Amino acid sequence: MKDKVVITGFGLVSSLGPNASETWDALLSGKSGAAQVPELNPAELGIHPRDARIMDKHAHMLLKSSQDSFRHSRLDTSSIPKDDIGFFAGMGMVDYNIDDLLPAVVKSLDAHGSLDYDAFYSGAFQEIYPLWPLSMLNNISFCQAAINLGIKGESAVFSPHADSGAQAIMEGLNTIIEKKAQAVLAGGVSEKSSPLSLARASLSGILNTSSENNPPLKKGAAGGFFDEPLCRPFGGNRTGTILGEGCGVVTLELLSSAKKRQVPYFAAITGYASAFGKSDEYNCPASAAISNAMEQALIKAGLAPSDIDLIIAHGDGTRMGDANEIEAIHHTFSDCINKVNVFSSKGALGHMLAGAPAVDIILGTYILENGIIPAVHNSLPPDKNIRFNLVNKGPLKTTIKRIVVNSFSYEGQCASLIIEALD
Amino acid sequence: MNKRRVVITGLGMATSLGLQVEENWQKALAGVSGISKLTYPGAGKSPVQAAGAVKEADWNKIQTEFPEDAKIEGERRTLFALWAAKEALHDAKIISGPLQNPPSPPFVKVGNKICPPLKKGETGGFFVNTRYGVAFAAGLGINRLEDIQRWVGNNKKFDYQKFGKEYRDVHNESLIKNNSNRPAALIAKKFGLNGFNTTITTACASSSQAIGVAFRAIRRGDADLIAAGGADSMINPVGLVFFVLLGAANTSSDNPEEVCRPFDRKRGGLVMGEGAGVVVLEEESHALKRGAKIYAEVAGYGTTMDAYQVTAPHPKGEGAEKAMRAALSDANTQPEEIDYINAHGTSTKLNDSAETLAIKNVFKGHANNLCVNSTKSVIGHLLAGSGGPEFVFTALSVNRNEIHPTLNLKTPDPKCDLDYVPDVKRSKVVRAAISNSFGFGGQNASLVIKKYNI
Repeated sequence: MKDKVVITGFGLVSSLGPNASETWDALLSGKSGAAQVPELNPAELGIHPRDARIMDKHAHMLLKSSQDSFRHSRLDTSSIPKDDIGFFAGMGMVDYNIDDLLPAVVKSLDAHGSLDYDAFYSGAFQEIYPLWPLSMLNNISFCQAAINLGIKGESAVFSPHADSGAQAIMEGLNTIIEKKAQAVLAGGVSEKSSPLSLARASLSGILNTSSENNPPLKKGAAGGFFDEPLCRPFGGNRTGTILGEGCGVVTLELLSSAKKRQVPYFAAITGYASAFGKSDEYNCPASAAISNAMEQALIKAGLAPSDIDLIIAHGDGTRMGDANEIEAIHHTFSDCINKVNVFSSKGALGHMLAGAPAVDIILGTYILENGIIPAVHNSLPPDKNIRFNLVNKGPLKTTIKRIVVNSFSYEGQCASLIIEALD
Repeated sequence: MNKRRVVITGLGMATSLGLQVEENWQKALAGVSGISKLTYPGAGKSPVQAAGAVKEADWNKIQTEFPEDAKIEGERRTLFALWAAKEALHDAKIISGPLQNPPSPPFVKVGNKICPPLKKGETGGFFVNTRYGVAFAAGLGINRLEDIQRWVGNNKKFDYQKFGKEYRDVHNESLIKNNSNRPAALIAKKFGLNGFNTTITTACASSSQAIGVAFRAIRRGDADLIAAGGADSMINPVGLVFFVLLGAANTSSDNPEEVCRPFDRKRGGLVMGEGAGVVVLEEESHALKRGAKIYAEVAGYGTTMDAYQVTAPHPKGEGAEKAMRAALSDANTQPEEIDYINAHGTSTKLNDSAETLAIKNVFKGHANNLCVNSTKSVIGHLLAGSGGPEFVFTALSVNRNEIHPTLNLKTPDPKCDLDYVPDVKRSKVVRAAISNSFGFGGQNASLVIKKYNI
């Protein structure tokens, strides 16, 4: 029998809690996570003061989730050589903190307030902290986590949107299958919400800016943006997504390895695929590409659409993104559309971009284990076109064996993963 | 298990040497440098004065080729990427002339159910193939000082209110068009590569990892053909001081052509280049069936993490050594079969000696038989894009048995004592070669390219 790749540990940080179980409980209780993740304490994470200045919140979240997953799967006490542990992550765009560059810009201004490049190059640029460039490379945060855990195996960083978190899991999965590592950490982390990340999301047309007519910042700080707008996945009144902060990392290894190490395992990842197709008019994937990713993933897992109990959709609450995902689900699951349940975590947690897929997979393991699908927050009334069973009136108790997890980029990349309960 | 084999069937480049692969290759063999005095507007006082910038005439040519994209894309790297991808796909005869006449997307059988294509012509009538993909690398986007300057308030602090009111007017170019996955998306959309699509950002190892990830995806059957590579350009104000701040840039005021001197005792830091390199990787039988010309075979890929320091590579090149070993093992190739290494060779103090040591540790006595060169001495360091052109040159060396020289290696360094092919090209049978790329933070990638034998 073919050895399966299983999840033997996870770490999760979200606005609903600093770990998976608190996030799960809060999600079931209907609590809203439309808020930023509180700052984490670098010292508690074991970050050297020397490195603290170039590690921002996204680095902290990745480090914490990686540490938690590492311990959860008992890699910290295992005999697996550090060379044989891989690491793959999806990470977002890295935006400079404006205050990091501002002094150099101010010092480069001439008497009229215009930028004087001679002044900048001749010395004003030295107002920038010399290691600031490292904070701009997203793989540096990643390497800091690797250094912290001492892991030296295969690695890659994918970016920047939700699909990249799924790409990281796919690459990790295949690294295990191809025996290039005995265990891998794989997942992704959101961007740190900042004026620039909010402006980017707003300009790309995915953001819900409905309640305030346009500026993404009311109070002078990024946090202000979360006050009113709601993300309404598949809701009839949806008007866009909200950014969420958070991170998810899972430990993957072969079932035989988990059994040999006598560690618990939570689910198997049995299918995956990525596809591309951009909507001609909007910043979202075309429905054909979404279908293609889901169908290829089903083929890879050897499953028919009717074998799937639940789709954890990308469902980001954007007008066209959700419309295309609805159309794609109707298409691929047409034979069993009345049966298939659909959930999206983004109503509660916001859009964690590269962090979303691993978080959804971790929530998926809770759904498999507890037989409960949380309700999609803010989705009433639902989109009139929907023919599948959107779980929106409250948590649904039912037997769940197999889950498709979707994640997309607004540039058109789509990825689907399939997780299955183990007997 | 019989693994699918992966071959190289198309090459494309855009560098300071030119826009055609053949032009790049001949100039590199002849020892022509692409590095010249920095001409970036307003950068007369820049501490960095040497760069491998794409020539103005070539830049204009690229813009003429993609007029619509040139109008809306703010990042030079995106256009370099499109150009190199177009060249590589033409070279592989996947596209020829104007793109048209799409074959119908395949019907998909999922379980017992046949899924017809969802919407015909959804991609605007272009060629569409879901077994073809893109794996691409991109580094930092441009961070414009003008964007920040605009928000400096009266108290010399950032004015959030002003930002909130006006960001739409100025940030469009910087913030949307610098998405790292934009090159991969545009290549896929333009050329109908609608399958596998991924973007890698591991600093200077990015392109080699993108090629490695593409290679593995084809080998295991997730795609039949992937355009892989990378593009970058950091020749802009923040980019020019980026490596100066880190102490890794070359700030010499000597003749620009001569300041990038990998493996030389007087090497003084990296010199930036810009551009792109893209290769078409293809499953062997897919290539043979359509009669494609095959340059070489990609035989193996290996990657490691130093887990040492984010500011410096491991002094003994431990991660680099393991990456080469992993790639050789993945390729089922013995060290003695390797004849040539296209080194990472950045011309920094730390890299070149550590990489030399790593090579010696892997190849032992055979190290002295190897030719090792640095493409960065010719076109500069393309950063996230560097693995692209370097892989193209490595494939050509395997295909043509010629190795371009390392430029400016005048003063031997006792710590760098291999055959670096100084000054003059070498003709030598290259059975197999390795291309190395190491990223800041300690991420190492090695690729093994072999002569293609049926």
